[in-house]
Amino acid sequence: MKANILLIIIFLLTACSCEKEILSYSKGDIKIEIETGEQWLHDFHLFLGISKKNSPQFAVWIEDTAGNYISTVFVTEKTATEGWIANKGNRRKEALPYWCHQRGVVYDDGLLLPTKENPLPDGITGASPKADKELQISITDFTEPMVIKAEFNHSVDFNDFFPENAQEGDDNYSGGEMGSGQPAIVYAVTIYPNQQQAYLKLIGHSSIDGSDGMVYPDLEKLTTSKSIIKQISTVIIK
Amino acid sequence: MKHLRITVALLLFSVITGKAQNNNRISAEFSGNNICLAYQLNFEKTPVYSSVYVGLGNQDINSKFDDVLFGIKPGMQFISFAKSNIFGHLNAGIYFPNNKYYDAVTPFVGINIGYEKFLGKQKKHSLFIETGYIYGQREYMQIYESDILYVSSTDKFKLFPVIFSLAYGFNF
Repeated sequence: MKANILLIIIFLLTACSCEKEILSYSKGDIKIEIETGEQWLHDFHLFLGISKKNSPQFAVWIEDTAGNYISTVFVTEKTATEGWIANKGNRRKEALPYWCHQRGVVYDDGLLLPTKENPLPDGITGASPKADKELQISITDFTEPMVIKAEFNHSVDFNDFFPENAQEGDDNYSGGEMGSGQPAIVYAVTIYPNQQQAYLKLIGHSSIDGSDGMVYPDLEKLTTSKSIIKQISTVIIK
Repeated sequence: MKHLRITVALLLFSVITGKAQNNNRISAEFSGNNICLAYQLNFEKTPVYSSVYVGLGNQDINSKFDDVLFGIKPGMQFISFAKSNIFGHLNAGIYFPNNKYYDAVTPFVGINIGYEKFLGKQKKHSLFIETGYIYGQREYMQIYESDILYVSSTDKFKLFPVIFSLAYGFNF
């Protein structure tokens, strides 16, 4: 019996140390590295004072330099599939409004958010990671400059300027009790085929209540949301 | 995959080769992440036991109770009272997430302690609680391809490390 247990433990430990998945890059591929900041994980209240640490909803996509949307590279599952739990029908349009408007796909209910019935493709939909994330992209015709954009948002990320008790119609209304709090933040960088490395810059925040697709450059009222991300870099493999 | 087959074979072997006393147990165990059915054999003249279990879990991306797990818990009763006991065991098994985004079959190991309270004179029924730590994680890759773009990314599936479960047992 003891020998059996010992063998089981040895084999399980061997199996646990499974090989690491490594992205293999070719010349011209673009590596996007998202480094998480201090506020990447945010407390989400469940019940009886119990909270869980949530990672943010986010989307990464590419556009041309004229601001035309080309393709989504990655989007978190809840946004991509209407995968919210106990949301009482709230589609959370304030989560990633800039990405939604840039993408411009209108669904049956008039919102720009993917639905359970029409989610985004599986390959670019994933769990919101608990730590840094790396994406490898290869663009078929990368001869002209392109813009990489990313939008991040926590729900219930309230502060003094975007409080929980703001009422619909107020300038700082972000979706109510289960809303966004601080609005989504947007990063962008233009990359060139002959470039090697670039960093996405914080260019502003999205609509507070998700009602438009603008980027607002005023960042003074944002507090913790500016620390969701430490850094996002792109490297073009030579 | 080879590791998995060997592991499964060993798990079954260790239970089948155990010699049982009369008081074995079938139990249903509930926690926030798993619902399991377990069969426990108590080894003759010792406080040692081994149980196998199979269940459903909700720990992958879709949070539905549609993942499958199974494993083994070899352990022993540390302290026995007339109507209760305190036990501890190792916990080892395999977790199969079930979703359309990734395939990340994840072996896990852990250690649990628990308290069992027998009900009735014949001690046929019992309630018990278990708590412990579990470790299991697995990296996976996702790929997307369209006319203009190829995207690949990696991520990690990790089991929630803390276990706290309530259970009912039928002893026979």
